[in-house]
Amino acid sequence: MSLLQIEPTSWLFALSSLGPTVVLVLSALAVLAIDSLSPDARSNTRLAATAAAGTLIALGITVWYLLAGTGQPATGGAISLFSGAIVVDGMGLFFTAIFTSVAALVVVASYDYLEDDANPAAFYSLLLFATTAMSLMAVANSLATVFISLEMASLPSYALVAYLKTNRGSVEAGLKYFLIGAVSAAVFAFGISLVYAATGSLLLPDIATAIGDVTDLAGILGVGILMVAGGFLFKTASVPFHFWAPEAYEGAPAPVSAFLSSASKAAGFAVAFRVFAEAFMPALDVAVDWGLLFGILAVVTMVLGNFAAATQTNVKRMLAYSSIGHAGYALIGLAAVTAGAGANNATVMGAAMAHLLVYGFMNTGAFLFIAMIERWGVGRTFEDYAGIGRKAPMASMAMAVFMFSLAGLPLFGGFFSKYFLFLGAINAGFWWLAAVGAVTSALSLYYYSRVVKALWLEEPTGNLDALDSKPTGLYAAVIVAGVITVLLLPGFGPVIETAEAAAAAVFA
Amino acid sequence: MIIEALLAFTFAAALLVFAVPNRYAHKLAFGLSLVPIVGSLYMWSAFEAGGNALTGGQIAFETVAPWLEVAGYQLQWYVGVDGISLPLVVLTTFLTALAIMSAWTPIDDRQSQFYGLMLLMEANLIGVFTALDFFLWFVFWEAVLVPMYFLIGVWGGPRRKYAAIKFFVYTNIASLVMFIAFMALVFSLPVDSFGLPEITQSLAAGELTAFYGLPAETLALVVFAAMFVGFAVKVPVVPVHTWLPDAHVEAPTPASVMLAGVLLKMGTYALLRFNFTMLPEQASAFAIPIGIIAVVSVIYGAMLALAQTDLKRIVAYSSVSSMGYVILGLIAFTEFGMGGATFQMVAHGLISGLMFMAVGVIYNATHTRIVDDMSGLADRMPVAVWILVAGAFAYMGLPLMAGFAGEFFIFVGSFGSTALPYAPVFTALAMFGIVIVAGYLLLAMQRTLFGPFRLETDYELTRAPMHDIAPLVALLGAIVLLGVAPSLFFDMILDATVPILELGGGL
Amino acid sequence: MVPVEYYLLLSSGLFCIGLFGILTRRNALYFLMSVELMLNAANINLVAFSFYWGNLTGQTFALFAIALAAAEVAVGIGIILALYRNFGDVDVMQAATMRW
Repeated sequence: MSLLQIEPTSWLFALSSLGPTVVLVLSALAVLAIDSLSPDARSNTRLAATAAAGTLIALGITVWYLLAGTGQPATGGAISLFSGAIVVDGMGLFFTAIFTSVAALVVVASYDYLEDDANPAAFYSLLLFATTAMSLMAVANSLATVFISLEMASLPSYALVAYLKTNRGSVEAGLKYFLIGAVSAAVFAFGISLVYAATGSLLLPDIATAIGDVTDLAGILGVGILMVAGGFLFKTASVPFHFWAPEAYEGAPAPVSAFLSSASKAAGFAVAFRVFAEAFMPALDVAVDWGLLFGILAVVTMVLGNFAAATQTNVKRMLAYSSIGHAGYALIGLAAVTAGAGANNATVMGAAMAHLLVYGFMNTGAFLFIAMIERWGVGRTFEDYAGIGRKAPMASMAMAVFMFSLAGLPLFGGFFSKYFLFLGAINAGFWWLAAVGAVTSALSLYYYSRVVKALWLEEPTGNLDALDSKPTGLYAAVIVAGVITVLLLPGFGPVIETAEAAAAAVFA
Repeated sequence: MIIEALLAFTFAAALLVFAVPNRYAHKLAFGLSLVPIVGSLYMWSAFEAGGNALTGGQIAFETVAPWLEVAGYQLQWYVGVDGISLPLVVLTTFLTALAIMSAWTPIDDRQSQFYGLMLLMEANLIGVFTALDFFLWFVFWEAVLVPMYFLIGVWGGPRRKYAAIKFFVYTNIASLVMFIAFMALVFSLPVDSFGLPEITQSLAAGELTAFYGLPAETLALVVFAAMFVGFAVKVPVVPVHTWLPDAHVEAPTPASVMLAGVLLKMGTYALLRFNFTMLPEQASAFAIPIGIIAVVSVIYGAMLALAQTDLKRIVAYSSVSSMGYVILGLIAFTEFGMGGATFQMVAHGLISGLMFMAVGVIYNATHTRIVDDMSGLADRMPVAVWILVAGAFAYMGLPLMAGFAGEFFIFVGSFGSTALPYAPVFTALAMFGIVIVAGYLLLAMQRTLFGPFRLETDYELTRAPMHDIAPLVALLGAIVLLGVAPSLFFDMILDATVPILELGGGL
Repeated sequence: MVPVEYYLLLSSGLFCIGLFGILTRRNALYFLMSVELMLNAANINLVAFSFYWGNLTGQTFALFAIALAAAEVAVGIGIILALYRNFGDVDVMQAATMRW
């Protein structure tokens, strides 16, 4: 590992530690540069290739760092940069791997989706800038960097949701996402200012130390923590800040829905895990029992997401609600945390991280399948999906894999990630979280299998001639996501081991 | 490594068949499905093991490799066979190949997907019967459901969607119940892996501890009951059998063959492996209720069959009846009872496969299965009809056929049972079931096959093609072979079931 | 010297005014201004407590927050422009083709 031989104070060291982020931002700039140099040429292929290369190289570097042990206990622990405002460690790299994988899949799929688009460079660069910001969210170790990177990820996302400027649904979705996003950003900033007021610091470890000395400002601290939690709940689409999600996911272009519901949600959890595990752990006893708060919200989110999903007629909206339900599962990672139980905390948070990784693939795949249907122009409801398996068997098979995996059938990666999560919750003494999770998962099989039923068991109702065109990029992305979802069952071991080690390092 | 090779080949064959064009799929699938037969026959010939795999006996073709670790428990890739599982593996490979050939006539749409799913199901079935780690077993167990769901739902009859979803929902809920119960059991044991032998031996050593305030004895009873319910759905027994007739009637013939022939045996296999081997004392405690369930299944299933007019429904309900015998043999906890029950799993697999296939051949020609719509078919399609008659006699337990050996062993075993109170009464009631079976089969045969020719549909009756008849002949041959020489399987079965009796204090 | 509690009161008041504006105004531009008020409430806190704790962290962060607020308004105006083109109005309740 050549990285560690560079002098830790040198700028080269910082640059190489943040390798994935740097590659992402450079590729975003490269996309803009290509577009500026030949603004009239239809250069979708070149732009998509650049963007895909950028995300894949970033993914490669991230996986390399993870395997080489960069920032992990094996090679001397977390790498602290910029006076501790950024910390590169196992957790950051793990989440960066999620973001870059999702971004790569979405870029490849967007190649077909943007075939007739006038200005694809804007789309790719916004996507890459958002991914860059997410990779910063994963390593942010100060409330300042957390806030800035979170906003940097949100701003391109608003634009991406409203990308189809002349489509009323897309604009409406973008507006709603922006309005709620802006309010929650303000609430988040105010929460940070209150935490700063009570502790006098923005660096997460310093906040943790200072919380013990907070006396008369404990109330301020508690309100501040609640407001910060509100910001995360917005980003992860959890109750009570979830109601933008069905709108935004339904109205946005489907690749953007895939990106937001997988990567953006994971990014929200990345910062939430780090901030609450590192900074607010001592506040459990002093200011506010946020563990219980997240527990209640996890239950409500799981129940609401899954029940609402069961009543939908629009497949994309159903997936949007199911995405809320999965935010509830991942919230268990924060809810089952108790003060002074480091090993249990790390197990359950690691399981939540692993779930987010598996979810990243299966959910992205599912939304990209919908992108494919949107491109064919078949329709949006379950009835419109009838008989597609007959015309597009490969893609429909992949969709069946995603649906069964999201439901947690023990055939694909989604089974182990849920199983580890619930088991972790039980071991930590939160059996009620696991029980609600198991019951809602069983319910979710009902609405997920409706998609499979429509695709395979029903006879076609409408004209499916549009399915004769085979969008290569979309097919490639969907099938790669499907294969990875399958392989995550036998290959779950390394994933969960990495995730648990990363979580343990944060709690240590 | 032979098991891994078998699994890998079958999975690869499934993928290959998915990819080829529809018009080549049928022959390719059949050709590929012959290889697992050779593999399983090689395993049979090279089989050198003794005792029960779970109770510490010698395991044939055993491989262990770590998979992943969860909360201090090691999950493993752990496969191997003993005298109980090997006959079922042979049954699976044999029946799949024949079912694929029987699909040549009826399946005329999306062939490559159909045959791919058949091979995929075969691979997972082999996995179910060879896996010795709980999680590995559970993955295969669930993975069997999905191909069957599609086989029924896509290629089935008019009410296929309802039948497929009913099948899927019933079996998945059952799996969930069983899974949770088994987790509670394992977490109360001082084991560090999910290996079934380790769990069994730990239970036999009496190492079960309390679970969240539930005393060990109560926990064992609760777990036994929950797992029994979970597996009983799969068998199925009365009163959780209602998915079976729907699934059978709507399923295409080859899927029915697999469903009756192998998938139902998953339930009894799991009951034998989990409930009766791991928790024999609790089985004895529940002996009377289980005996009642078994006898009710035998008689009620037979009565329901008597009331049907659809040939396929008749055979489907008679499966419920036959599975009742198997449960009776298992709960008897005697050498012949348990051995006979295991033997009957194989025998019934072959016989019900034959029956469904023969009904399918008749349906291909007449396009009706309703008894009242036809009579005198024997004149027009003699070979198929006589094979159907032979299958019916095998069902009734004609000596020198596999059905006789299985049922005879079961009745001998259950009559002398000490574990089951009032064993003679239960046995006599179950034997009464045989009379009903004989009655309904003879009645249906007489009305459809003999007498003057009459057919209510507009189809020209022709002789069945060779590739419809060939699997029937092969199955009949296998049934007679096992009837004449049951020791081919029975010796190794006894070898593996006797240790269970020692565990349960029987014998 | 003014006690810090007063700053807290001021910023909380400002925050609540902003929140009130968001909840009552239907015009998207008023909405943006209200969000600005809320963000500036946070800035007041940051600057005041930077002084109170004697470090510069809060003031620096406030600068970043101001820059981000500007960026947010830029994106927001863009979306509102698209809203106006599609719906012919800047009333946020007009855009309701999907149910909430």
